[in-house]
Amino acid sequence: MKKLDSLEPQRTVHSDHSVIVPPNTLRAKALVRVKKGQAEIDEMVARADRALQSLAPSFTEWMNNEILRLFEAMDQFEQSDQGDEASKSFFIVVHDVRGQALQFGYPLAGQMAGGLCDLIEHRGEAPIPAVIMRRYVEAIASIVRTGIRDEANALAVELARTLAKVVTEYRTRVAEGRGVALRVAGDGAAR
Amino acid sequence: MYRVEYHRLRFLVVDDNTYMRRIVKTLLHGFGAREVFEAEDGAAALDAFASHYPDIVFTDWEMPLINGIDMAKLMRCSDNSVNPYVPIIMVTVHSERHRVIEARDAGITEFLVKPLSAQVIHQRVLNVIAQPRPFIRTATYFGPDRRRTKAAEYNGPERRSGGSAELIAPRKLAAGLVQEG
Repeated sequence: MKKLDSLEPQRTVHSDHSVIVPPNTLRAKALVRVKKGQAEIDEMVARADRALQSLAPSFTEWMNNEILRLFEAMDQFEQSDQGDEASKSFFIVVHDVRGQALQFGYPLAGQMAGGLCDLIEHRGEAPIPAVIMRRYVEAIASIVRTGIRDEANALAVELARTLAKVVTEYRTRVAEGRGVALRVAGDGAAR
Repeated sequence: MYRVEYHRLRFLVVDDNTYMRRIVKTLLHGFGAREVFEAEDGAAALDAFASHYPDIVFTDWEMPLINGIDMAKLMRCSDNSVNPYVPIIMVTVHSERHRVIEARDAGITEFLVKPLSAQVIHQRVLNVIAQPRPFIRTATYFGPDRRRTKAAEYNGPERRSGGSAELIAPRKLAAGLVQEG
């Protein structure tokens, strides 16, 4: 039989902070000593894993639905003013797809969605045109639709490399363009 | 060694994605949980929190309107919060250091990076029940103690008044709250 000494949090007040220890009601309510050792825990975890595995046959269908959602979000973003609000809404969907891809066994699609998340998140400092973002969306879709789950898949790895190269080239060109513009401005100021 | 009796606990799962809610719910049911409530965004979660009094909250980070971070702050700091001490487990794909720190500073109890498995869920649940941290209130923070461990190599000044010894006493006190009878 377990009982709580007190239901009031214990407080220790200092000049710049307080330390509060709430009563551990959860421990009293739900923590019990195991009877069969580690095997009992392992059995419980295995049972929960089996429950998760029972959902696995649906993962392909769920992921395909997420891809449709991703394309819808891409369309909406392209048709919007592509400002902060639109970027945030698009980011939430891409971020969701990233999580789902990792959960449903498409690690490369997840990594690519992560790359797209970075591009959207850092648009302020390094803007990327929507057309490049669409390439990411199409690449994620192809990986999912062709059922590539292997992280070492040569085609998917090449696709990821190509996308990264496109982004780097675009940024380099923008930086060079800025450099030219700055030099021109500098020349003008000198005169 | 201890195990958790999930059927005695009430959970709230907050995620804007139906599939992820289903994954977390299925895992919790697999552990034997019976009462698992769902909310699809932070606002709905705050309603569910006030009406269902969950023992443990699982939340996504990125959600429309009120995200997981803002929701956690409201659960912790709102004047009419039904349980400011509720364990909040953040489930996300954000694994960057600055994100973990942001979650910690919002009062998140545990951080869990996708993909989820039964083992990681169980570890976090066991942790919040068996080894809860004391809460700290400062002018700018209220939530679980952000110092999980005492770094042996740290030689800097003690930034809190009173020193670190006072953090140890409440832990002993917490352990003493539950007695074998």
